[in-house]
Amino acid sequence: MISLDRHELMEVGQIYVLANTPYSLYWALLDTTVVSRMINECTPSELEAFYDHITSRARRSEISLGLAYSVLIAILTCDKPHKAVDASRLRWGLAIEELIHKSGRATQSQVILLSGLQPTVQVQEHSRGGSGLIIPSTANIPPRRRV
Amino acid sequence: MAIRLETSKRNGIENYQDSELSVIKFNWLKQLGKSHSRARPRTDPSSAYNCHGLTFASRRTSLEKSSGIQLILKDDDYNEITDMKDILPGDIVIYYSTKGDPNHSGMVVESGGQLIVPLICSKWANAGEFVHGLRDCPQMYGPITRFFRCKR
Repeated sequence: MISLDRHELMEVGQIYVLANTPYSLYWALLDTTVVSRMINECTPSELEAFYDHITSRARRSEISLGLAYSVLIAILTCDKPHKAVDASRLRWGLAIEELIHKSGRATQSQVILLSGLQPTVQVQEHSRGGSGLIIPSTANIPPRRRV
Repeated sequence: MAIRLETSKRNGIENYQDSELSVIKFNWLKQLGKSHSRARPRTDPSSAYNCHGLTFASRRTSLEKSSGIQLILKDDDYNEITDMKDILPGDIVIYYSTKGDPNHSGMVVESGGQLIVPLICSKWANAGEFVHGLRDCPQMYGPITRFFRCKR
C-alpha cells in the first residue's frame, strides 16, 4: 500500500466536494498524483481491499469519499487484471464506470496468433489502454507466440 | 430524491436533490472560497442544488447528466454567442472539459464597460454561489467556455 500525505488527501477531498457532475469528478481525479500513484504502486488486490474497506464504512468523510472514488478509478483504469468491483456503492460510481467504458479504455483485447495459414484469435481479458485489437505486423511469426 | 423537471417541450430532465450538509462538510465548503480571493461569496454552502440547478432549474435541484443539459439547450432555444463583446447580463456560460462534458455553468451578471471578461454568478457544487471573473473559479471545471442566450 502507499502512504498519502496531507496535501494529497486534501486534494482528492477538495475535488470531491467541488465536482458538479460525475464527469468532472472523474477527469479531475484522473489527473491527480493520488490516482496515478495508486495505479503504479498498488496491486489490484490491495486496491480492491481498500475499496471494500472504505465503502463499507457507515460514515464517510469528504476525504474518504474522494479516496473511494480515486480507488475506483484506479481499479477501473489500471492495466492489470482485477475482480469486478461494485461501483454502485458510490452514488456516482456507475456513471463513472460507464464513462470509463465509453471513453475508449478497452476492457479486453484480442490477440491474433498466426499458426501457419490459420490465424487464432485469443481474447485477453482486462487489458486496458489499447485499441482492443492487436494485429501482428508480419505474417512470419512462429506459432503460439504472442504478438 | 428527484423533482419533476421538464424542458419547455415537456421532455423530462433527470435531477437529484441531495441530503442536508453535515456541519463538517459545511465548514469545509466555507473554506473553499478563500482559495479564490477575488471570488465574492454570495450564499452559504447548500446541497439543495448544483451549478446547473442554479442556471437551469431555479435553484431547486441538481442536474448531473450532460444529456439533460444538451436537451435544455435544444428544447429551450438557446443560441450560442460566439463573440465575447456581444455578451450581456442574463446570458449563461457553460464550462466544458476538453472531452466536451459540461462540467459547470453560471449566469453572466456583468459584462462590457471596463470589464475585459464578464462577471459570472455560479454555484460550486455544494459550496455556495460566487460572483467571480470568468476564469476565477476551480480549474477542474474545464478550459472551454461557451456562452448562450435563450432566444425566446
